[in-house]
Amino acid sequence: MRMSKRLSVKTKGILTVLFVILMALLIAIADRKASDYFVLILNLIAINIIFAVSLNLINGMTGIFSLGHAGFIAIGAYTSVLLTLPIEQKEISYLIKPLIYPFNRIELPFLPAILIAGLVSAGFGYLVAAPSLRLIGDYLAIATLGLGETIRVIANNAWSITNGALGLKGIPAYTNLYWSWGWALITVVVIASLVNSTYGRALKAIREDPIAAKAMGINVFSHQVMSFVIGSFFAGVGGALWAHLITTIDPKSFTFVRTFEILIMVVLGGLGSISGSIIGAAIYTVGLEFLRVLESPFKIWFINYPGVPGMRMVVLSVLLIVLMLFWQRGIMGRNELSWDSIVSAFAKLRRGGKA
Amino acid sequence: MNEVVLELKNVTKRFGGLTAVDKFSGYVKKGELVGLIGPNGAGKTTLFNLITGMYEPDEGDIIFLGNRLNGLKPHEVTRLGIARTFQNIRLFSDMTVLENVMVARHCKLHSMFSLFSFVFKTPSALKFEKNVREHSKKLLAKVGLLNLTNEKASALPYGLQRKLEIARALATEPKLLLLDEPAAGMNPQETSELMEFIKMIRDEFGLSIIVIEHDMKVIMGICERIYVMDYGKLIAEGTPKQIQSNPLVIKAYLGEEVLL
Repeated sequence: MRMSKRLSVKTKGILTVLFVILMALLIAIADRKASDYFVLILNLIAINIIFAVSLNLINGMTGIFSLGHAGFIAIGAYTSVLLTLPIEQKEISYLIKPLIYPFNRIELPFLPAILIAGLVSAGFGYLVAAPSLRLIGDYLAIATLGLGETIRVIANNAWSITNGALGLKGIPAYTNLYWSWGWALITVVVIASLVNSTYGRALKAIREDPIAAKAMGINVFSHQVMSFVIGSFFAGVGGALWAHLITTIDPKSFTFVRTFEILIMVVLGGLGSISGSIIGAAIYTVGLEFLRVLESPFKIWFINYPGVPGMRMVVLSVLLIVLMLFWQRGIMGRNELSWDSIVSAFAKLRRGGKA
Repeated sequence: MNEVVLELKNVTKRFGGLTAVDKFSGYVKKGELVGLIGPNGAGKTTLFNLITGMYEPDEGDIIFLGNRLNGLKPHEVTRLGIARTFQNIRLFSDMTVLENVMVARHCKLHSMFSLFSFVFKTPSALKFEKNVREHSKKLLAKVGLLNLTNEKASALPYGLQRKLEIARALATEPKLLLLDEPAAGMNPQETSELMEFIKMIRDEFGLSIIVIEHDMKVIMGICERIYVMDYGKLIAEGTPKQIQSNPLVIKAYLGEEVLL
């Protein structure tokens, strides 16, 4: 039974709308009732979804092995903070060198700040992509890693813009569940409709075989740049949301470790699968929180566990290794979760139960 | 019918000290089926790479329907109307048969900025998608792969992969099709089917075709004119009959002192 019964387009549309409404309701309830800690985790999941899905567009769909995502997150975070930080706060913060004009006079609302952050990040994405996409494979990975780190080092030293290593504090906490999940939804919808269009097929073709893609009339270079720029845009948006969630940023928040965190989410979910990235981001974020238990002392029967700081990273690494042993292509592989696949999975379960 | 589609004038390509293609001149007329043969390493595939813009010639001109191709990028050459297949099949193996053909229609979009209309699913974008799907299915029906549209390209048997690669090339709506060893690895049955298939698409799509092939049965059976290369040089040109009895060709293939 390979061909299971497919749902009609209308049913799928209704299911999708219902699903979105349900999510919106849950978020509205969480926003009012849930504890601050729980809300923080939900926000982080949404922001990590933005990061993971945007990196997946670059790495998974287009096959560009980029390791520069943290750099674009930094640009988005700094840009939006420079635009939204209250002027008095700016005067207090910049102790060593004063903030340059025009940022010292600007105080924008959140939405334009996010959009500008995304656009600036996309612009830098273009500047990084244009030279480094002349390289392929490992060399490209190293170049993007280096350029991402360069952005962080610049942030560390450009005192009159970023306040250097002191970082920025007192950022207005604009990010709430509506902002973060709203943007997560936009990211997923935009990237999914891109991937499912003729552009997405072109990107996948480039991933599969760049030479054949060229021979099919696809301008490989400009499509790779496009994918990189769109990925950078959403990385910047995510960075802006993150900065206004945590309310304090400094260059150390954007080391390459952050890029690898996102890469773990993407690979865990399945390189080349958007729904995989969403699942990966959620599992990683929640998993990291659950494992916090290991860092505080507790007692099992007669064994006293002392609580080792950093232990959760060790356990997480082991769990990830085990997971990758069994799911070598990630949880979803390159497949997408769709209503059809969910229905057929349920049908399989029921059949399995009866047999 | 006598219009010249492609003209090569003294085309030369060197790799360091090796001259892979040495002052090659030739032409292809509209609707013609031209063979390109020669021993291994003679420069046949290099010539294809020069025509399709994968390499740039060091000397000489390549003229296609009045356009000079020298220095054009591969995707620009494809858009002008030259499509090719590869010696080692290069399909998008993780994509379906249908998607492989649909990808080739992407070159019908002319601006990168149309991507916004696809993100926002404007009516024109949806129409484009619909047309691509219909056109690709029609094409697959013509080449006899319609019942396999949702299979992964890598799951097809070898002969059908070759066919799919040709279908994909046809989807770019070429005026000139370059086939690089289409019969390689095929059994006699598949080979004779392929010969019919090549003739069929030539007539159906009004194509000019250049075929590189080692299987003389294919070359002699379908080509109207043949170019023979050896060590990068053109050593003979003519009808299958003329080529078969050309002493230079026999020498290049079989060495000297052969009694026939």
